[in-house]
Amino acid sequence: MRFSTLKIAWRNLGRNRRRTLLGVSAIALGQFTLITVNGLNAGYFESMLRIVTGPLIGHVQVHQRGWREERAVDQYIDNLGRAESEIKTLPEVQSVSARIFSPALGAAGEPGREPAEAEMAMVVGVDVPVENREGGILASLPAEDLPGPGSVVLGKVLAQRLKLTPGKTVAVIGQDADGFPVSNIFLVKSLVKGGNEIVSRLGIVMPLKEAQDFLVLPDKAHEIVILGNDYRKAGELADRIKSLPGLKDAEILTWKEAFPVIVRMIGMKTWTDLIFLAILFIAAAAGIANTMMMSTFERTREFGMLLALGTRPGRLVRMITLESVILGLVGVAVGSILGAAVVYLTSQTGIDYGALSGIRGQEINFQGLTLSYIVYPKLEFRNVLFGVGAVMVTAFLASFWPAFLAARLEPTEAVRA
Amino acid sequence: MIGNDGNLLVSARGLTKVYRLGAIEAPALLGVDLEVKSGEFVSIVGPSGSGKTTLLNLIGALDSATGGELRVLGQDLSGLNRRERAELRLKYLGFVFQSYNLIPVLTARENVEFVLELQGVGRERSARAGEVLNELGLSEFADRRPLEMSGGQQQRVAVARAVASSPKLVLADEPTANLDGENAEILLHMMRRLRDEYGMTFIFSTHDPRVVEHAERVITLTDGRVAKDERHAPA
Repeated sequence: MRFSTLKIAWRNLGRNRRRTLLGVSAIALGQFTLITVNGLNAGYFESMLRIVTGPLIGHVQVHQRGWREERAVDQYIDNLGRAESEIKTLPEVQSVSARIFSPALGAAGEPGREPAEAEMAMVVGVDVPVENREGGILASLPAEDLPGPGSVVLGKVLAQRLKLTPGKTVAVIGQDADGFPVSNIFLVKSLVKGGNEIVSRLGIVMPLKEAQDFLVLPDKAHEIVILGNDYRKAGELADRIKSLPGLKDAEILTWKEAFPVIVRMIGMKTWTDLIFLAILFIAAAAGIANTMMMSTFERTREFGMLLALGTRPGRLVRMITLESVILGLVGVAVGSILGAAVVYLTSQTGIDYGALSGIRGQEINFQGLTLSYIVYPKLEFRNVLFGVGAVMVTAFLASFWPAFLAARLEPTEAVRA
Repeated sequence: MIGNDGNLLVSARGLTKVYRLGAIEAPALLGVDLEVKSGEFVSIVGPSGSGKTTLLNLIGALDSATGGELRVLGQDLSGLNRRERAELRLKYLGFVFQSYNLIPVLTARENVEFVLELQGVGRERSARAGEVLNELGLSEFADRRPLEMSGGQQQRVAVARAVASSPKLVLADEPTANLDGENAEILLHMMRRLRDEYGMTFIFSTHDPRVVEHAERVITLTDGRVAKDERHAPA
């Protein structure tokens, strides 16, 4: 590429600044939209992915077959200790957490004149240290608020219904695995509002051992949640767990199998990205094609003169193509900078969709998961590159016709035009 | 490249050009015989439609004849394809057009440089462009773009560009058509000086009497034929 070709192409863009500005604006707007919308989607879907592949759901779940449909107390995994030990022998396993879920009734445990009003609840037995990590059921609680022997953590909604606050007691009535009634009074240590809707609305969360004792489920649990090294390799991990002798009759699901709707939603992101990429294509094509066609037709005599001087048609083609590419690059650079700036700023502050939609509260329940209305956009560099690539392809395509026309000009006719 | 007769730059025998627009035929040249030797200062005159510009375009390898023979610098133009004609123009011919001569986004120096670059001149082209502009008294315009110059100044820069690579033949189509008397005189004196000092050959198409006065040879075309071919002492 000769320097003068570049110089002429660059300066030509300044000849009709308003037109160039319009072209640049169209491309910049397209790229800006692509980056910001994809940034929003990336932030939203990533938070969703973080939840479904985090400690709450795990990469792989183990249950007794049929438990997910009926959730009966007696549909437990037996020999829990052995199963956990076998799972922990797999090198890629990062953590193993067993849970118990059993329907119960909860009521304020304080003595009073009026009969206590009972509410439907769910006893949730958990591995407290594991669930206290980021993304776990008890993630938000400091050590002193965690449940222990004789104490529980209540889901916030349930606590409101039962008019219970930390420091009070809750009476719990349930059934053990053989159908016999069981009851006890527990101290409410704290309230929890986690990413699991059941816990938030119904949860009476206690240590796994406490739940096993209360519900007479020794060495048993309803669910084992396993986190591996990489959520993308959940299928391989599930296959290895299926081959363990202690779990040969269990139902073993990857996070994708456990939450197919959410997986489909996350998969929609690819389509959303493509739709906005297509919009960028159209914006860039309109901006560049219009600018280049107008610019080329206006310069017919100039091209004729250049051809008369001995300029080869190929050089005219390069000149026009380069002009188109520069126009595209300037537009895409402006759009990328503005888009990246907006995504960066909002990734710090977050965007409260709830507030924008006039919805009170910051969370939405979906598929049993509690998702935040506040989205923290995320800049995906690949989308910037896709945009640049799309604009470059468009720039080449949009310059093809005007360049072809210019290259075919007859100098004598063009000079007279 | 120079033909058998080292002095003969242009030789036309029975040159014809007929423009076709569908079924309509418009003859522009009807058997022109012509010879131009090196160092001549030739003016082609005639009324509008007489074929002046067509003849200049054919000599300048910008267009193809429909009949006859045309040799420029010893080269039979009928045998050249588009690329070879562009090569001939680039290496051996200089052009000055009536208007819109310069690349508007380049300065005067860059316009001259551009042609030198096309010819494959390396890094020294900037200095050489400066020398040419200086030689022709145009150094003060070197860094101005066409829009920052008058029509006369632009035409003088166009001449500088046409002669920068020392072409054998310079073709000028109505070069003074858009110039006032003073600028036309300056331009013609400049071209005469180039002919005198460097032996360049100039062929103009014009109906400007001022150009005719400066010419040593005046070829008059009428209805596509050479009506008169006269030599006279220039003013």
